[in-house]
Amino acid sequence: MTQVEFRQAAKTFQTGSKTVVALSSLSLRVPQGEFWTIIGPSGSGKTTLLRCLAGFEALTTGSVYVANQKVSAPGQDRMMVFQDLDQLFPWRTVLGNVIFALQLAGRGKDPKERKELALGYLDLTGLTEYSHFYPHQLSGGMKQRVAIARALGVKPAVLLMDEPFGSLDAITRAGLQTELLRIWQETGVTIIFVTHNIEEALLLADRIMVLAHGGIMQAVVKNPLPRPRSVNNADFASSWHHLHGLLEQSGYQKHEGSTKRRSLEPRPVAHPLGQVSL
Amino acid sequence: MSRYLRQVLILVALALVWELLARLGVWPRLLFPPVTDILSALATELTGGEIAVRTWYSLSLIAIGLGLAIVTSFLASALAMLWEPWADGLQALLAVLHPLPSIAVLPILLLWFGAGAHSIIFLIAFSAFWPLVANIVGGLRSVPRTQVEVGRNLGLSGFSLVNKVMLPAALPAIMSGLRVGWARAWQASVAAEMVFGASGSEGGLGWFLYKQRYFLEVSRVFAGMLIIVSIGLLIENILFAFLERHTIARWGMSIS
Repeated sequence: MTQVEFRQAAKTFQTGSKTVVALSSLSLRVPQGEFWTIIGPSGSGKTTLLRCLAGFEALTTGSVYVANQKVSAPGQDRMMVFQDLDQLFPWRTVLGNVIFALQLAGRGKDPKERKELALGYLDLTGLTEYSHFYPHQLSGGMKQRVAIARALGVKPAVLLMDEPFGSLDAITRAGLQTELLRIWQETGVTIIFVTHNIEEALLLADRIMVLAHGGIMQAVVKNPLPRPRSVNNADFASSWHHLHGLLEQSGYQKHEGSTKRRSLEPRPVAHPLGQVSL
Repeated sequence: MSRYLRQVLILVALALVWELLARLGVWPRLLFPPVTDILSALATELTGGEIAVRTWYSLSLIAIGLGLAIVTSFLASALAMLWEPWADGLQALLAVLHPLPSIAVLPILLLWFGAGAHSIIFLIAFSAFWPLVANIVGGLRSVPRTQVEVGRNLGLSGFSLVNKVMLPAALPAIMSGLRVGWARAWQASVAAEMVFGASGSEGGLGWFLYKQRYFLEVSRVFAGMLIIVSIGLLIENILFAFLERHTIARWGMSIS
């Protein structure tokens, strides 16, 4: 079953007299329950794609459907987890943030039941001991876990993740990748995950979409690596180079010059935890 | 704590210098009474005089005026987030009226509403309204975009988005607005009564100061000032400190 469908989706921005193409006539279908990552250089429209899907921005032409419903505004069926570590409401505790989302989603018939439900999501994301902490008392990785718990609390059809681990250190990032895979398998939620990190894309996704400058879909690659995955897997390096090649073909070097190249690792590096389970 | 102690010691030292100068008779005692005279005037006023009634009267006018200013400024600021033309209009009015010293509005208020309590209440509300609006709107505009988008993602829009996400997120700015609003309200109430006195037998601390000056009761003028200062300190160090400790400080929100 198709969960997310882009039909001839295009988006342009007007900056002064210049028209910038962020997405060019993109069509794709993401089946229910799959984990997709989108990679591409900065300015290739990855985030725009996600924001149009979330309903924060309107497409210029074409349309997006989620569970056969046309997207026209933000909605609880598409929950976004941002890169920004400030996405939690600082005046609510960890538990309070999740309960707030449950309440708005109309889940749980009374406060007691909502609390039980919320504690379940905190358990799922490994936050049980932190339920009464305020966001400012948490580390970056913990904050992102809360954001994931809160997003899952409204039972979205698809979870949208915009470089959610991009502000975290390598070890925290690796731990959260493993956790996210476990959560994905436990909940069966469809995930679309934007990253500019080839390694992350390969460790997480069923399919990897490569975007080129101007929001042109360069390729959708089925991830050949068996789960559980690791950077030590025999096929990891070749997959990595394949994706890297696609990114270079996408005009990455030509358009980006040398400054933005830092966003891609030059070659696969040893994964901090060595092994990512599942 | 040692800093607090140091500040108290400096004030005590200044009071001693004052006392000494007054006792030496550098200036006429009638105009420059020693601190001990001021304190005994304060004690007399507090035990049997009218200062308590005057203070209560001033505070009740401020409560009404400031209450009105808080309610209207929240509504006006929230509406500015929902309707662009209103936001533009409010911004224009703010630019024109915020710099206007509130006391300058008083002659017009006297002509329009007469010299009664409602003129003072209006003046208090007017002088607190603009700094409140400036701070609340500024705070609402600088709420992190991500938090607003999380709210929209959860299905909030319009007034509920402002109420459930933007206002709490703007709390540090709202607190500074309340502080400034309170100070302006206090100033306005005292200033207004000193300009046109009291209506009938009623009157607040401003009227008290005015009247004691008229009778050359300089010690009592200073006693009235001490009351005003004490109330200011109490509100700042007890009420606002309490509110901040239980909200923005507890939530790790920076004070803007």
